[in-house]
Amino acid sequence: MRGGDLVAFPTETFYGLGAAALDAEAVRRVFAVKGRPESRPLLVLVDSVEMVERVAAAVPSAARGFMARHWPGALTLVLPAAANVPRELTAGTKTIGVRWSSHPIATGLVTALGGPVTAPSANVSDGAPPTTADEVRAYFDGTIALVLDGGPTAGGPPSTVLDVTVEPAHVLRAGAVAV
Amino acid sequence: MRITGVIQAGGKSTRMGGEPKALMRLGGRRIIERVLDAIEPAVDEVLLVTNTPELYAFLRLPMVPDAYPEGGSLGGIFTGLKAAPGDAVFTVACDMPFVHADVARFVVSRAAEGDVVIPRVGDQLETMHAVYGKACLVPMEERLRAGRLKIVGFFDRVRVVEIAASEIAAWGDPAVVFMNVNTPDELLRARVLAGEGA
Repeated sequence: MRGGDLVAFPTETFYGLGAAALDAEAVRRVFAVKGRPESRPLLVLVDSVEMVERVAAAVPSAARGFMARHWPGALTLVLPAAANVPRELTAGTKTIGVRWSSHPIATGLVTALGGPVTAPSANVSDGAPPTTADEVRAYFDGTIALVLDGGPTAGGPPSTVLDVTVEPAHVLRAGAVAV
Repeated sequence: MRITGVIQAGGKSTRMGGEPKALMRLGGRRIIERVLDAIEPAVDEVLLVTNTPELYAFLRLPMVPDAYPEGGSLGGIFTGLKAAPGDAVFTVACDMPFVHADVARFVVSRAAEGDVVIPRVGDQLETMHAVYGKACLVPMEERLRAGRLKIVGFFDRVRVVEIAASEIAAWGDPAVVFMNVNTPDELLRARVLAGEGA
């Protein structure tokens, strides 16, 4: 991943497709292999509030409350993006979606890299999100460097996406966590 | 609920008479081996937080370096909780020679009741013989970054369930079960309690 490669990994919902999120070239590869429109931003995984502060221009106190109540877990918080965040990641929205996963392999990957990791579901654009490493391989065999096989994931609803750049916070996507 | 046992072997000064205290022998075994034997049956796996992995390699446990070396015990608990594959950790110190398998199992059995499940003996909360859930991570990190290292300082942000000393007294004197050895005098006392005589 430090060299720009992509790695799929399990989360508490589906398998995600990971790139070093601050590496613009690696992020472009995520869009390319997924066949995803570049107008849609990617959320990233972090392993600490400190890491959030590295990619967010500001962290409102309401956001800190949601973090304390729901992290680690399937809640993505949309924050204003810091200047160092690649445009490829934000898709020009000037915001960034962040979450701290409760899955030990997902968070372990973030910790091992020492920086945020992209986590769109590991499927091609119109495919179903995968819950096994085999399904990931069926999509991306030969096009990504590695699949971390953590066994079947829970599936179900994806993470809840909550916009905390506005007040009151606004649910952009209802999902696994009720807020 | 998956529970990871975490043995804390960090800290700055863990030596007593030239040898790390966790490696001193009591009743024929090293203190840290006694701790491991007591907690291993109660948890799904065990990991060790230490900045001196070479000292503990013989235990063949996964080890993680302390993420906040200046963060005191709170930093060690945070480090273990963050690295743990489980939903919660059962944290003990490496220098508690009389950790009791049944008491460990009892505390772990209560894990789902709160974000922190912790024995109380008198006015003392046994922070190094307690369960901490992942929900503690964000409040702990805030305190660590602010340099506020008192372990119980974040307890008002999470659900805390206390276990009374009377609930564990059937297995042993709580004052002994939770004791740690920091000084030669305490080691001597532990040796007496372990039946080695003085």
